[in-house]
Amino acid sequence: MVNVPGVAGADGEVPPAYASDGVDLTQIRAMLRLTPEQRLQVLQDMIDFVGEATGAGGTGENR
Amino acid sequence: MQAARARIGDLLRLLARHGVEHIVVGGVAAVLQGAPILTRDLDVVHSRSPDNIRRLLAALAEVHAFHRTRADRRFEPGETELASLGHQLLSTDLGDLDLLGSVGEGRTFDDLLGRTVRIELSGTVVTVLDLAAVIELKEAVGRDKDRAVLPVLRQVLAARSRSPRE
Repeated sequence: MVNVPGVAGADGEVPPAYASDGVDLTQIRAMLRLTPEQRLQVLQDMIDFVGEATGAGGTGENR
Repeated sequence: MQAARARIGDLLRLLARHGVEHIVVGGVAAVLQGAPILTRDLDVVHSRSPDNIRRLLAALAEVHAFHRTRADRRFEPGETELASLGHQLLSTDLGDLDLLGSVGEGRTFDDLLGRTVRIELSGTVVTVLDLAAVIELKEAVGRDKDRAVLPVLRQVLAARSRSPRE
């Protein structure tokens, strides 16, 4: 893991923002703080955003 | 015909309401266990018992499921194909739903049950392939889109093992 400037935790240790392979660990920590239901809502929000941005897909009622 | 945008929660509730025995695999399984990735369909491995297939067909009829790979005409899924080990790639009123008779090297619902976790979503308990098994399957399949998310999934698994409560 790569240490980059960040906010120190209660123990004074700064958690790394990125893994050595470039994966954004802040996103993972944020998701792991959520309940499964909240994670599903994050996914649904992304699906809706992509759908609206690309004009792809409508609601079932539109078919 | 425009495909419906996926409503993953509604699809899961539909299957639960009809008592369909299934295991959530793929991207949605990873998201439920904390992976920040985007997937636009629901992949499940279903039990191929005759009773379960009957329940599954009732659920599919409710959302007007049809094979999305058949461009020539609208073709609804049937009992024989759902009883097979193959993959049925469907479109429904609630978005795309992939029904998998088996995954990897012929691993079925019964084979995978020991590698699952149960997750509650608004009172609905969903059986989900555990994250390590999701990674193993994606490694075995080896498609570009599977390989692309593997680094993220491995980091999620590592983070979860450091903080088991997550």
